[in-house]
Amino acid sequence: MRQFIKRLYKDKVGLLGAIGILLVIFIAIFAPVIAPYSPDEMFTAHALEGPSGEFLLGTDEFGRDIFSRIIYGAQVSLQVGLIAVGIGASLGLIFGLIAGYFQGKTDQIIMRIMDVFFAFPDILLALTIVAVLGPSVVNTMVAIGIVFTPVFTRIVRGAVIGVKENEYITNAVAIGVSPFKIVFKHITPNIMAPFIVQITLALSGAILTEASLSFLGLGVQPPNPSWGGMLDASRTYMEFAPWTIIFPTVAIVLTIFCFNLLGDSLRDILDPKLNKE
Amino acid sequence: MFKKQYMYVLFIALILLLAACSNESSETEEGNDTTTETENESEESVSEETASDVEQVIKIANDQEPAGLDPHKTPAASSIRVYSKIYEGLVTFDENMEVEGQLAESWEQPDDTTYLFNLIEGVQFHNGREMTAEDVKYSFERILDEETASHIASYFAGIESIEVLGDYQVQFKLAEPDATFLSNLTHSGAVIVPQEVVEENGDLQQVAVGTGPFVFEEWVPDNSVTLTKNENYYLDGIPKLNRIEYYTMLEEASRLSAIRTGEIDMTTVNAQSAELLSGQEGVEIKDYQSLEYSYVGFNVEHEILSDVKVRQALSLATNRQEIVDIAWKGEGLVTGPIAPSMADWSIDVEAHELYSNDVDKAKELLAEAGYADGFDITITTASSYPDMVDTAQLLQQQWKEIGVNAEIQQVEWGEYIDIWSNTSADILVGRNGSGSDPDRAMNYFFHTEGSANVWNFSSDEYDTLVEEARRTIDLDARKEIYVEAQNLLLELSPNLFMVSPKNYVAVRDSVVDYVPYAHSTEDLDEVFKK
Repeated sequence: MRQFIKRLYKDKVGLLGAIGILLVIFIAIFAPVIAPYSPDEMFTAHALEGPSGEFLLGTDEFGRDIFSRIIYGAQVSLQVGLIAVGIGASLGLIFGLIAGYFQGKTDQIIMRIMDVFFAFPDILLALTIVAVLGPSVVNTMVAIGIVFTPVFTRIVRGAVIGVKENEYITNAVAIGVSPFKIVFKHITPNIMAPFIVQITLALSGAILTEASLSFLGLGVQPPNPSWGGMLDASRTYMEFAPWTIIFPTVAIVLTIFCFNLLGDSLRDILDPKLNKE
Repeated sequence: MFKKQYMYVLFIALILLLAACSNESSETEEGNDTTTETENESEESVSEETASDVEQVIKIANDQEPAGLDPHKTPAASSIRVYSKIYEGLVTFDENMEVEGQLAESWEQPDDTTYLFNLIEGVQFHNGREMTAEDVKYSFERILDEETASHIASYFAGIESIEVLGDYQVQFKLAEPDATFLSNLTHSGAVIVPQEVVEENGDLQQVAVGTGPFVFEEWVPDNSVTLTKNENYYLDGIPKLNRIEYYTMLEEASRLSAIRTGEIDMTTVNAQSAELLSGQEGVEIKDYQSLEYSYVGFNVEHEILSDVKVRQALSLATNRQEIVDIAWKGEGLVTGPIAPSMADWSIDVEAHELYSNDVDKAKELLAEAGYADGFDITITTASSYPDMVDTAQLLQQQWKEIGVNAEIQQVEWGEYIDIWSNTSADILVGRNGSGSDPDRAMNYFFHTEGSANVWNFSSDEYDTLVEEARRTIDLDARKEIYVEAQNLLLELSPNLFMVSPKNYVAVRDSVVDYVPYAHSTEDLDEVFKK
């Protein structure tokens, strides 16, 4: 672990990503302290005002403080991102382990089902699921989780098949260790590297998908602040109140950028081939 | 190697960010020196206009592709704007919304249930054949035929018989007196079509042969519809235009830029765009008070909402003027069930007690109903209409003051229609058109048997009133009944009536004599270009 942090520290770009993410997490946790106003509070007399001392990043069409909404929006983005990826990663891990370890028919069945899900474009699949379940934060997370399951399943299955060839697994099977124990005690720890990298990358994808769904009005419901929802609402005003669209965009871009930086850097650090040098 | 790539990416991101910032500053400055920019632009367009001086062609951006051209089958606004130039009915509305003759030169009413129309002689269909009383009979029989499944069949369900008394005389017999009959005849779908064209093509969705001032020339799907001048039109000097070209432009933004550059001459825009265009030289914004209104519908069989006191409390807790100011940017009027643009049919709702936004009174009523601490409820709205979403959010804030915690649920348009027709929402934010006769606004939406009464609302007293109004031919007596019915409806609050918005049309200043009215938004008969 210490070695890992040391390596990350050496990789300045990855470090930048990590710091950025920590900052977003910090903002999300301390949102009530940082934000000057409640995100739903309407100052109708100040509707669509530009950035000023009173409203740092201006106000939206209801006179709500955009700065406060972006701060609280970080909570929504992270919450949706983490839980959605949590769902996708857990399901993917279970399916991937089963498919990879047992192979044969089980593998065929699981992977062909995953292929079906894989065949749909992400956003289309998420839209369909939300349309069936009805729009809400919870359903958004479930939808994104389901969308991400096939990716995790594939990655885990691939890694499991690789690890299974090792002699210590063959030995364990030979001395009669139960498959359950082999899978969780001997295989799982050894496939963590690609799994973790995928989680980081999936997080940025999940945040982006949430923003897209909210933009279409099918994700987080108003008046809860969501960066994507803010973009949707400000579309009509962007020509004469550009601050309503610029700042949420910057928030989305920077957050995704940080997650991608960290993800790519983790891939390099955790890649055993690059490790050996 | 990777690191180098990242530096590039970072660099590009930085440039993009800077570009975004500089854009912002130039845009805010634009307000101060737009004059120089627009001057150049208008100079350009002026020279263009003088060049096209002789060419009487108007280009209109349509926000939706026509859904079909059959006037008896297609109620879509994008279709009506096209086929209403091709077809004509017996009568129409003038600018004061009084009925005047169109294909009928005059009409008589020998008794309460008989209408006798005298047709203009020598009117030709676009295929050259003369239009006669037989065509009138055929057209209304087609509307009433179940196989046609016409959207206006119910308007004419009271017709008992149609009789041709001569080439230019036709008589309608009604089952009972119907005060709405003449105004229903002005409906964009109640037009005369030639039988042979219908029989040849099965229906009129892809072809169009009428008697109107413009002749259908071409429809390029997803692109444009072209109409040309009817050289044999029976009114002298009409139309003045040689061609109308409709271009389908789904995005508001593309219509906005097209009208700015002069690529098109005319388009409908929303309130925000109208504001943006207001300083633009070469473009005029015409507005009119629409016949539509926004509402908050209650499922009156809902456990809590079935109590009329709860609905009245919500009405009192609603600050409608704030909704006008924010959701409609101040461009609309607070309304009752009949929009203010229907002139003296509608009542002055501002004076009504339930429109007073008296929060204390609202709390009292809630307490009487047994909800002193308020309750939780869900408001459903369509995600594709920003004004509905805004209205829902404002209601949520306003109702909080009397302890009502509302959650907002946005749904996609198709699902919204489903929810509307099945009354599967507790509270629904939506929009109605109050139509050409108060009968539609009152009977169609709120009579127990009304086809659009999806609220499970039923009041015997109200039903009696609107039925009586429908049978009452005397104008003043009829108006009085509707005043009573409107007040009763506000009292019972099956819906909260909110705002009747203004509609906007952006027109290049080369277009002369164009005036939109609520009931005739795109009359181009006498319009020409200079």
